[in-house]
Amino acid sequence: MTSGNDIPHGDDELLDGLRAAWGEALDAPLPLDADDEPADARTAAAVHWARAAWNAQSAPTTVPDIDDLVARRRGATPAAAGVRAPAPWVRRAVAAAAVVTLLFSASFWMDDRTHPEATTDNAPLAQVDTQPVDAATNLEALDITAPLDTEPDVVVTRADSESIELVSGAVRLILVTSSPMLDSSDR
Amino acid sequence: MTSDDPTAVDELIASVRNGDAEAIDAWYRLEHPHVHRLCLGMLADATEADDLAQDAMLHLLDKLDDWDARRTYRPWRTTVVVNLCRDRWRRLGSRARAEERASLEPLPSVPDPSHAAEAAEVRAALTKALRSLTPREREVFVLRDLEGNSTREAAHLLEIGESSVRSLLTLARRRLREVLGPALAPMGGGAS
Repeated sequence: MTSGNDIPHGDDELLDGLRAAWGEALDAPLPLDADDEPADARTAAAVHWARAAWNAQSAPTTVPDIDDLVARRRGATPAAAGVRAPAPWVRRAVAAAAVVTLLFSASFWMDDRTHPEATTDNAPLAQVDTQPVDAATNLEALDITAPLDTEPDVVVTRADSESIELVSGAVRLILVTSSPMLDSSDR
Repeated sequence: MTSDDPTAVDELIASVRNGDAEAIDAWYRLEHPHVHRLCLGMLADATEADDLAQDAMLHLLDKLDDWDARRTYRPWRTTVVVNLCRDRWRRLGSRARAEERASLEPLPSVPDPSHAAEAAEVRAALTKALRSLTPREREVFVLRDLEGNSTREAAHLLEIGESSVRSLLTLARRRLREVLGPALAPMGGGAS
């Protein structure tokens, strides 16, 4: 910052300071700032002129469409702003859905391994686990409900063996599993 | 709000982060002149500065969540803008360096900054003078001598040592003396 023995930094005083500086012998040491090495008058004059020119700069400010700026700030996707990355909660929800899908697939595969008779045409239907899977329960078992719980706006409104539905404000996200549990009648 | 009240600025930024429309409008009007001037000083190119200042404002708006509210906003903003200017300067590449070399000759004359009618000429002369400096010299000179930061503050903003700031500042001033000195001599001589 400037100090007491600075050459004045303001616009109005600048030319006076410049003239005073220039009135000194050109090679006489002239401190620009307290912690600087002394500068000769010619250097001081150049710095003064640059400061004055700097302070005189005033760029015309044209504020872009304020709605676009607000939307941009709030994470919306205005057309002018281009495509933005999905919000963190969406990414987490998609990741959770992927885990649920894997869980469904794995449990279905394990079911076949554990109950090989279930895959045969004559298998008794009672041995096939066809109960709807509570996705929220599975999420909790995997301890991945924590990230969702940190988003109070995100609500799991429906979850079954084929899909999970999440709602946040006006956004409704329905994630469908890639390998839905087969109905027993398909076997 | 004045731009000299850091606390008020920090409060404004907090509102901007919350998406308050009025705060965003006020922030843009308050900050754009500063950001533009920094871009002008760092790039020494009025057209590039106009363009980058707009980009920088949007970038800052996007990145406000990265700002640690326990610290002052201004240094964070300056560091972001300096880094954007460095990126732009690197992209400009050889063209910019060629222009830089071409502008080492002393200016034949410089306009009086206190005359509003000569604003365009003042800007042209200032950018030409700054273009005679290397990018590092320009960064130091802009932050230290033009923006009024202390040596320590400039070193912190540029992430270099204080001794480097002093060395670069000395070189920058010496170069400016060579470029502006002849043009300023008649002005000073006549006034004394």
